[in-house]
Amino acid sequence: MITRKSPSEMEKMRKSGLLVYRILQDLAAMVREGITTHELELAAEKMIRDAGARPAFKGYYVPAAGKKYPFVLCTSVNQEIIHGMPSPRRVLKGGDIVKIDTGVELDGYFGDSAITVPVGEISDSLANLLRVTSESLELAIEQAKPGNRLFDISGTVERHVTNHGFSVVREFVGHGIGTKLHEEPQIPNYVDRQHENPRLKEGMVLAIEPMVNEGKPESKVLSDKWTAVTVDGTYSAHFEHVVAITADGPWVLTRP
Amino acid sequence: MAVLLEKDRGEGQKAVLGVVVDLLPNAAFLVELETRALVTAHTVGAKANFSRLRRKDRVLVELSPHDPTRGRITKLLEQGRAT
Repeated sequence: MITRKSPSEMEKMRKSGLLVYRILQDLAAMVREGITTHELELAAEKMIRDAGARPAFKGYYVPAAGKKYPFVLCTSVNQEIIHGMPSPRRVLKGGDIVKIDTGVELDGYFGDSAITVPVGEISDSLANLLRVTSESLELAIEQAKPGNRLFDISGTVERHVTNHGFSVVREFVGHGIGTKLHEEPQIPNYVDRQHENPRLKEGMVLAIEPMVNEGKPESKVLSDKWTAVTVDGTYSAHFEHVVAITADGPWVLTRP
Repeated sequence: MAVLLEKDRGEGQKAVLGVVVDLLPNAAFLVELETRALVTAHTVGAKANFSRLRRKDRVLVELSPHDPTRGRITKLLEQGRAT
């Protein structure tokens, strides 16, 4: 069942959302050639603790992985799509793109957001990938209003991405969010008639996260059970925001 | 953090034992589970299989995760008329 949040609950989610936003902004400013993803992880953990919040990802268990995620951040570089693990051995270099994804729990409510950050100068085609992915999220956010249905969000992402010659990752999806990191509904970035297409109602809070590949859509999970990469080795971009559905339209909680 | 897509049809739901209580239209059956709950269930593998089911047959039922009053009959255990 898709839960709906009261105005006071939304305010709490707003606080979590803004915290995630600030952390991502600070991390993005740190990104430069030569920095390791481990350093980003350390910085993020400190920021979360200093804010009095709890990291949402660290210790998070999913049956599919069979083990808990050990970090506060996901740092996915280049052909890593999502859930890449920070490492002191992963040194960022010019031309890379790094997807930084994090979540927090503050006062019982979760925030979750992600950005793709270029390292130094990137190719025009990569810049295009980032731009199209980010645009698809913005267009999807506009669809998050009462009276629409889930497929309005999913279809908008799929159309925009494929119109620009990229592909949508199908194995991973966005999700509802609230007192848990992952709630109903599942929010694919493409339309499949076999899925449910619930009506969107005021009070719902959704984490929309397009994952877009330069080449083919297929993904696979590495032996660490978490990191997902493109099968064809092409690069992938990812942006995520938490959007509350209000009577006045979409309210992006993870950005001021 | 993204979630792995769960396809409903892929999900293995726990199967429970039940006894066919009644025949419903559209090749559906009223099955009483060992939990005493009554569910409506349809046969797997199309209508071809349904003609073999009668009242008092013991069957294995997979419940729908969305609606616990609906299920799929996946196996015929005993065609008992002697219960």
